[in-house]
Amino acid sequence: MVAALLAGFLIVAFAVIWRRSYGITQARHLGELDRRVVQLEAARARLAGAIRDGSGRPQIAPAAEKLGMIVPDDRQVRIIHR
Amino acid sequence: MTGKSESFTARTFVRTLPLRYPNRIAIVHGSLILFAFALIAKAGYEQLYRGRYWAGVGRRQHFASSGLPAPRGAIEDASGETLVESRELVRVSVAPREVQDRVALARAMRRAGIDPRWIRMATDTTRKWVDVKGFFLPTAIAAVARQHGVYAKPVMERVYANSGGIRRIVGRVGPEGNALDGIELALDSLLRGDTAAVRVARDKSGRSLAAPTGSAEALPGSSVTLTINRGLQDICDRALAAAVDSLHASGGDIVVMNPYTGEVLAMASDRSDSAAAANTAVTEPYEPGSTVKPFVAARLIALGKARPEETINTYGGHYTTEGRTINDAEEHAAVMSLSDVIKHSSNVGIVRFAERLSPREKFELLRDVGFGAPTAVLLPAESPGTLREPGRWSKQSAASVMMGYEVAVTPLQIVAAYSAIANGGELVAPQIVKKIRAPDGTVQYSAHRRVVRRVMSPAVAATMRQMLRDVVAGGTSTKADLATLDVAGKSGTARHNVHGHYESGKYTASFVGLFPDDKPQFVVLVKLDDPQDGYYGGIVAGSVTNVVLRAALAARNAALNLDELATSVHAPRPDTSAAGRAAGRKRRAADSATAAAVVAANKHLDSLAATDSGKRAMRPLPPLASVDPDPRTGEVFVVKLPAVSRVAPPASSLRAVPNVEGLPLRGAVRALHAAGFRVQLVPGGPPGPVPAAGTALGPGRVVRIGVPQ
Repeated sequence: MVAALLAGFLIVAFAVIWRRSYGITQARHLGELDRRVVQLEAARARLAGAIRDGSGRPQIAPAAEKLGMIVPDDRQVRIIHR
Repeated sequence: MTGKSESFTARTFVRTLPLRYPNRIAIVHGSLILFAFALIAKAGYEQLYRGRYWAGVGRRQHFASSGLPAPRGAIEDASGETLVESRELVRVSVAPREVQDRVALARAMRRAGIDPRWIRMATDTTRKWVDVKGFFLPTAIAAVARQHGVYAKPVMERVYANSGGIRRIVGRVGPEGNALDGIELALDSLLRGDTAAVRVARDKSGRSLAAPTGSAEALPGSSVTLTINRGLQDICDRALAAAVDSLHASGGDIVVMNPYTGEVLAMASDRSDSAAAANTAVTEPYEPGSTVKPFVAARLIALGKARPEETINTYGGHYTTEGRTINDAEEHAAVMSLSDVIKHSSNVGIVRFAERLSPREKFELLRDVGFGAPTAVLLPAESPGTLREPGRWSKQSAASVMMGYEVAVTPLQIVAAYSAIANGGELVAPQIVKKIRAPDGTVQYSAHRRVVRRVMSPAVAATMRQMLRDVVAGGTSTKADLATLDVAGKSGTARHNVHGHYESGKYTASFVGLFPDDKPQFVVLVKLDDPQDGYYGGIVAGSVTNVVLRAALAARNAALNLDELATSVHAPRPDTSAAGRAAGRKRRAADSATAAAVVAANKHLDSLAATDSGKRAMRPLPPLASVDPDPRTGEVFVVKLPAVSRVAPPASSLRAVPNVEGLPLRGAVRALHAAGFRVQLVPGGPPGPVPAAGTALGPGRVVRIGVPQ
């Protein structure tokens, strides 16, 4: 009877320890994933900013002027009336 | 005998009474029993009486509070394009004595691009703590942050659009996250968000573990949508920078406003002092000069004290009043109508007409269009300008204010005033913030058109627009005009006032334009401070206005309603100057080349369509019901574009929050995890999930469940 109780206690104790260890491992993994999300968000913000700046007029216009392009005269602009 | 007997009896007594006089074993046993009782008592005392205290100590050891910085809200332009947003960077600190592998740490720091000086300090065990200088991208510093003894603290950094003009509007945030100026300062309480203090579990080495209980998310700041159109802002920035550079001006401002809604569409400022970051279009007043004259004319007409065609003697452009001689910049006819006074910007003419107004009427006409009072636009440090009451005027002030001197206005004030002429007579409050949204998408603020007061009747406003049209068509500001669309406006050339004195040779050149003249969509102010190569407002500022309008017309999205604008287009006016004739020849050659290119492209597409693969690639175009030829040239260009097969948009990643009602807590958490959500347990919170079951959310979003405390 005492041996059975002792064995039961040990099994329960091991189960609790295993569950806790597993939880900690998963928590670490979750933390890693959270950090990864933050890292990727920061990288996304940096790249989105670079795209915005690269596609903006301050970048495009000087390059277009180097290629000999000009802002059209209003005579050369056709407004299509819908 | 008696003594021996007594001695024996005493020893026997001692032996027979061991408890009363214990031996050594009994003492040891007794001590152990007492110690056991003491232990039990102490345990009972600590467990039962001081249990809560020790539970608190345990919690402090296993859990730590950590501050999560809240990202500041984004700032967008009117079309939703992000102008400013936050991103997370990392500040790295190292405890050198806790570092287990210094070689690996040094290698990781080198790869992250950290200065060798800081690497040496971080691996120097004589130091207890080293804060590495600078902020790092989390991706760049990930390998360093994994090392023992390295502590990475997240900090938020603002990423700004690469535009000087936009930076002046949105302002700046200091290194500690404190707003310094601009929209960042004006709306700091909304943009800032709420930093979260979260409790995280710690493992034996002190590293944080993600735990659902007690976790919280930092509440991001609200996002702000401005009325600024980034495309138009870029156009203005570029035009202003080019003008300041080419004219060797000390600075300048351009403001573009929608005259009906009051929305500020662009606000560019440039100063030779590159360190000046202020938004001078609202902070620096200037003497507007002749751009004030239309308001004088409007009030004269409104009060019935003058008619547009009514004439007055201008004495050939030289007139002495109150001991001061007023001169016109150019020689005019001796007699001018009110329209011609505005058209040719005659100082003598406007002063002579304004003599029909009392000083109070003069003051009121300027006060009514908003001079001398801030516009209340949501930007910090706005100047109200200067408009003194008649009681503080000198004898000459009555004439000076009618010519735009002794009165100071900000560029925004003058644009708002001209908007009244453009929209039929109502002074509308300028707006720079269009919308403010909370992080959950709810609208906290939405701008509405706000009429301050009516300053002239629609009829007077229409008359003034015609007068201003004449100014551009054949007056002082022909440089601002376009060939196919009409611009109305008024130039101003005021002497530059420095510390109360007018310096010779220094001028403020400005032009305020209404575009197009019949149904204005833009009110544009161009102001140049102290230009060296030419200083007449109609010429230098008018030319810049022309550049801005042409670029806006050619841009894909510059806040112009092209449908409405199409009704204002007329046949191009012939440019009879030599330069105009040369430009016309060049333009006709370009048109011919374009036509030839279109024909060649159509031929190529026809040949492509004849092939099997081409037939598959191009769906047949629907027949054109009718194509009206160009009324001026009779030409019809039809470009056949291959129909592009559209790729179906990806299925929405939103999913509904599952119904977890009736499930045990563990089952509810499992169901929510299975659905792709993160779960946060809120002690004492409502039992159901928040947001409620059925709400569509993106994967990874947090769903909160209340648990009993």
